Amino acid sequence: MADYEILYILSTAQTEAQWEASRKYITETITKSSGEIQKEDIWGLRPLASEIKGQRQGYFVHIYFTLPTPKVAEFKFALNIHESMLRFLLTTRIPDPTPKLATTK
Amino acid sequence: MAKKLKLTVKKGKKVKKSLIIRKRKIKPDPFLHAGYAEVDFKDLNNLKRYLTDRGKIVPRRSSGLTAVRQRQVAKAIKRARLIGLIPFQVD
Repeated sequence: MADYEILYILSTAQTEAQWEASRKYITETITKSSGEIQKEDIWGLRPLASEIKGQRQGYFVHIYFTLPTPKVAEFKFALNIHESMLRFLLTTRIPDPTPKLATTK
Repeated sequence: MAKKLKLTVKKGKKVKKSLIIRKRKIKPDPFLHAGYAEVDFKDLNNLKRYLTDRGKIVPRRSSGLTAVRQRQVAKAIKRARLIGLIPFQVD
């Protein structure tokens, strides 16, 4: 089990209901593979700094979650073949501010 | 050249500019102040300090960061570019 975070962009070619559906699908795939969602942040519609697949806007969602390490490849594969996925960035979670560091200078 | 560098400078004497070794200035590190052990790719306000107006990553000699922090910043910027938060280039 390890801590991860994911930021993914959904295509604007889809409707709001479809965004909701794909958001649910992604959270379900995490929980089905015995992961746990700690925090989900919906950033909503945002302009993209550079075009991705010919689109200038995207629906951003950010999740902090845990997942067993052998299941990560499977999860990535599921995201890759998802229809409305424009792009995603899956990284290990950056630790929160530590009080030790904050006090030193 | 090596001998010349070792010469001690007497008061009032002019020294060639090329012989002066500048001490590296370490500038304040905003991520350290915030208490982060690593640099976050979502922390755009701080990351934008390390981009030129053309969208390039500022080199270490002018960012004034430590080597470890510079690598972390560069990685975070590249990640932010990939996910469409920061442009690859600004025209």
